[in-house]
Parts: sequence; structure tokens; C-alpha cells
Amino acid sequence: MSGTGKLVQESLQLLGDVRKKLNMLISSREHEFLALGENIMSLSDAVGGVRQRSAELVELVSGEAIYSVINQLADDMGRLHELCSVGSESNLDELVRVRSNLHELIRLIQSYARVVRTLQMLGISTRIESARLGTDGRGFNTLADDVEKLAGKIVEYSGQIVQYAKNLDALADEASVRSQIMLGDQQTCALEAASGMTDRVHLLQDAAQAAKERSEHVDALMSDIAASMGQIVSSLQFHDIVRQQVEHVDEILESVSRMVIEKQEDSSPDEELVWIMDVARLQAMQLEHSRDSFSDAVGQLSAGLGQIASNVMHVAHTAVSGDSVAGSALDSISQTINDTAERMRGVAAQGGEMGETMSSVASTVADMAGFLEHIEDVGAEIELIALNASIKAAHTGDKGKALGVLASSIQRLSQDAGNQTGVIAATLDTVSSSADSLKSQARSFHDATVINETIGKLEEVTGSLRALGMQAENLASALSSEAGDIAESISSVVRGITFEKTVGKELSAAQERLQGLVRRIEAAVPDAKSVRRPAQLDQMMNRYTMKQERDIHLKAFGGQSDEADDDNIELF
Amino acid sequence: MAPTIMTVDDSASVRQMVSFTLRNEGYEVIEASDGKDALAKIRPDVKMVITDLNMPNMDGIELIRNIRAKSGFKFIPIIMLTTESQAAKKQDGKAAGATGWIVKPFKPEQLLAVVKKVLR
Repeated sequence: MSGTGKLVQESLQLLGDVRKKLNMLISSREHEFLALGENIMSLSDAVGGVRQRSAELVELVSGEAIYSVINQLADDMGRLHELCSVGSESNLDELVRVRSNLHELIRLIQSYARVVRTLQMLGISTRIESARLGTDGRGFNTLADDVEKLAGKIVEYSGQIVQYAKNLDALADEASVRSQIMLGDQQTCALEAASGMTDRVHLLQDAAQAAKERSEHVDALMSDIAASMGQIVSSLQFHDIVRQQVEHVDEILESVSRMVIEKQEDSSPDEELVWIMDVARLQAMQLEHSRDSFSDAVGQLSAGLGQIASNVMHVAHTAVSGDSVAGSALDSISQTINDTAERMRGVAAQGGEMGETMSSVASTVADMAGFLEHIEDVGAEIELIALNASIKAAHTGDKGKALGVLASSIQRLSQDAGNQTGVIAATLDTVSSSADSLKSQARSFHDATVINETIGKLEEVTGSLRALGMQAENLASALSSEAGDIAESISSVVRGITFEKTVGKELSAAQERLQGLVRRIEAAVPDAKSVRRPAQLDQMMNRYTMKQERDIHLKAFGGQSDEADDDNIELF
Repeated sequence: MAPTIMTVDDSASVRQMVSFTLRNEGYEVIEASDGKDALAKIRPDVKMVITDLNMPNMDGIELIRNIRAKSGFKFIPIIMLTTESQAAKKQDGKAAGATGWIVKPFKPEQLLAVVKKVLR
């Protein structure tokens, strides 16, 4: 066998060896690719699950429910503030008026003293004049007795009224002090409800806004991650593409080997060597491209997965990164509600005591009115007696003239006393109205139903908010935990991708063997350019299905592709 | 009920990816490893076939012809999903009765867009 004939045999042997290696290279690793695909798809499903959870979280913290509850809380706090602001300031003014009226009453009652003294003097004068007249003035002794007796009654009743008025003044003073305390408590309560709670509601609103933004950020991240996972799943096609490229290399090596072995063309060993060289050179380029594509694809897959793992970890951290502002604001609001409730109940108790005091005032005023009625009766009685005495004095003629004057004086005095009693009664009425008003006001304080209802609503609303917050926290925590698990699984998958080194190495080895063969043939057949290439060889080398393969072929022969990178989808 | 789609490819990894993409969107998927396997597995409820071109036993073009010859499948949409992008090959597919042609590599959303469009 000639040197070139031996080289032909060695070349065919080498092509057979390369084919054997290539045959095993990709197909024997299909289970590894499938396992990788399973892992990636399972991770993609898990990412989908977390994506769903992040959407739920956004819905929960951005939805109407949470803002509606916060607004309800703000409204109820406003109501509490209103309740606190129903001040006892007006009570204080009313009590000042009551005391002023009581002082006026005492002053008016004291003016009875002048009436009493005059009555007593008139009584004495009547008695003297009656004695002077002897039998003619006998009936006037009765008048004198009555006048003295009635003066005594006025003294007694007015004294009692004064005493009662002083007692009432003491009660009003005590009520004023109590009202001052109530007012202080109410002002504190209103201040807490207005400023403290408003600030905390704002904190809550800020926290809700921050949670909303955070969850939207997480959702956007998860959306990007889900899209990236889609790209990763899509990149698994590289296995099929490289498999086909290697299969095509194998087919061409097989075809050229068969062409030479079966002597399909009338050929010399030099020609056969050149044909093998042409094919080997081209397929070495195809294998180089396959190796680079494979390496790039696996590198991109690993880098893409690594990036996803990092993004998922970011999600895991971000989902639970919110501070506890909402929780502390709620704790603070609950504390304020409890404090306010306690204070309001204290105010209600004070209102109850105030009501009792005012009931006592009203009852005393009623007693005083009774005494005043007695005084009025006395005045009316004096008036009648005086009228009777005037008539009697007129019957007595000139002798009874002086007694007539006395009787008229007594009658006028009783009229003055009656007028004065009217003024006192009006003042007493004013005191009575004030007492009724204070009693009614106190009763409204004493009624804790509205307070309890409002506090109950507030507790319910804060409870709802707390439950929503807890639900969001649990959801975020579960999301974070699942994201952490996914990130760990992705990292594990990335660590497990090692086949590209083996595949790359074997593709390089096959490429180098073909290139080595090319060099040997170039040395053995220096005039390769002038060697005949049959049409069958051209057809064989043009048998590609992929554009990349055709591009490499054209490049090898100094040509340029005229195929456009059109849209890869066509519907007929 | 979600439509049933058949995916035919000799590459298990491609079948895996196509099935995952379609099932994620709620479609029922039947897998077949070549034309012959597809003909054995095709059912009346299959609403669409997505097939590779170059496969052992029976290639995609022959599969289309066989499916079109079957009763009840004359108008079923058949999409070719292949690395082959030459116009002449596409013409062969069209002549055999293919509804459309997708060249690998493809993006999952592209496949889904075609499926939705064709099924509509």
C-alpha cells in the first residue's frame, strides 16, 4: 500500500473514532439534561407559587380592606375626641351663675329684716294705741298679736332660707371644684384623642403605604424572576440544537467515509485524502462552533440561574424587611384607647356624683320655695288683717284715726314684702332652672353607654387592623421562607451543572483530532487546491438544517450568508 | 375544558420544554417521540399538533400527510417546530398541510402566542 493509501486508511479509522466519541457525547447525557430540565421546571413552578403569594400580599396590603379599616379607625377616634370635647366648661359658667343668684337671694332675704323691724314697731304702736282707746280699741290687740306673730314667722322662714342658701352655695362651690377636675380630665382626654391618636393613625397610614410599596416592589421582582425563569426554561433548547449539530457532523463524516470506502466516485488516494480533508476542516469548524455555543449556553444558564438565585434572595429579604411601625402604632393606639376609656369612665363617675349634688340642689331649692310660699301666705294674711283693721278704725271714728294710719302702714308694708317675695321667688326659680340644667348635663356624663360603644368600636377596628397586619406578616414571612428555599435550590442546581466541562473537552478533542488530520493531509498532498471535488462532496457538505451551520460553511469557503435573520415564526 | 395539544419531537428535552410551557397555560399535552408514535397516540380530542421535522421512523412532513389523511383531522392545525429554516423546506411543509412554522430556538411566549392565535 502506498503512503497516501495508508493515510487514507488511517484517516478513515480516525473519522470512525471521532464519530464513536461524538455519538456517545450528547445522546448519553440526555438523562442529565432531562434531570436539569425537571429541576428548572420544578423551580419555575415554585417561583410561580411565590409569585402568586406576592400577588396575594399586594392585594392584602394595597386593597380596600386595610385603608377602609384605617379610615374607620380615624373616624372612630374623631368620635372619641368629640365625646371628650363635650366639656364641662358650660357647667362652670352655670355654677358661677348659681352662686351669684344664691348671694343675691341671701341679700334679698336679709332685706326682710327691715320689714320685720317695722312690723314689730307697728305691732307695738298698735298695742299702745289700742290700750289708749280702751274698750273702743280692744279689737286691735288681736291685730297687734297677729303682726308680732307673723313677724316671728318671717324671721323663722327667712332664716331657714338663708341657711339653705348658704348650704347650696357650699354645694355649688364643691360642684365647681368637681367640674374643674372633670374639665381637666376631659381636656387631657381630648388632647390624647386628638393629637396622640391622630399622629398614630398617620404612622399607621405611613406604615400601610410603606407595606404597599414594599409588596409592590416584591411583586415586581417576582414578576421579573418569573420572566427570567421562562428564559431559562427556553434556554434548555441548546441541548437539542447542539445534539443536532453534532449529529450532522457525524452524518457528514459517515457519508465521506462511505463515499471513499465504497468507491462511489472513481478516485485516487490523493483525491480521497483531499475530500476527507475538506470535510474534516469544515466539521472541525462546526464542532468548534457547537462547543462555543454549548459553553456559552451553559454559562448563560448558570449565570442566569445565579442571578435568579440572587434576586430571589433579595425578595426573601425585602419581603420581611418592613419595620414594626404598624405593630407599635397599633400597640400605642390600643394603649391610648384604654387610657382614654379609663379617663372617660372616670369623668362619667364624676358626672354621676355631680348629678347627685345637683339633685340635692334641686330638692333644697324646692324646700326653699316652700318656705317662700309660707312667707307669701304670711304677707297675704297681714294684708287681710290690716284691711280689716282699717275698716274697724273707720268705724271707731276720730278716736280710731291713728289706728287707721297704723293699719294702712301695715297693709303697705305687707304689699312691699309681697313684692320682695316675688323677686326672691324669681331668683329661686333661676337657681332651680340652673340646677335642672346641671343635673341633666351630669346625667349625660354619667351615661357611659356612648363611651363604651365608641371604645368597643375602636377596639374592634384595631383588632381588625392587627389581624390584617398579622395576616400580611405571615404571608410575607411564608413568601420569604419559600423564596429562601428556592434560592438555595437554584444554587444547588447551579453547583450541579458540571457536564459542560466534559462535553466541551470532548468536543475540543474531536475538533483537534480533525484539525490534526487536516494538517497531516495538507503535508501529504501539497497540491490539494488543484485536486478535483465531485458534486457529491458539495451536496454532502451543504446538507444542513440550521442557519448557523450554513453560515459556518459559507465562512469556511469565503462566502457570505444572504439569509436574513427573519422572524422565526411563519403562519401559512 | 382546556384543549389537548400533541407535541412530537425525538428530543425528550424539547418535548419536556414544550409540554411544560403548554401545561403552565392550562393545556392538556400528549407527547410522542416521532411521527409513528404520534399516529399511534393521536386522539379525537387533540385540537392541535406541534411537530419537529427531522425525526427517526417517520418525519414531520410524512406525519402531516398521514394526519391529514385520517378522518376527523383534515383541518386540525399542525405547527412545525424545527431548527430547519430554509424556505424550500417550509414550502414542503406548507404543501404537506402544515399550518405554520416555528424555527428553534424559540421563546415560550412565541409558542404560546402561536397556539392561542391558531386555536382561536
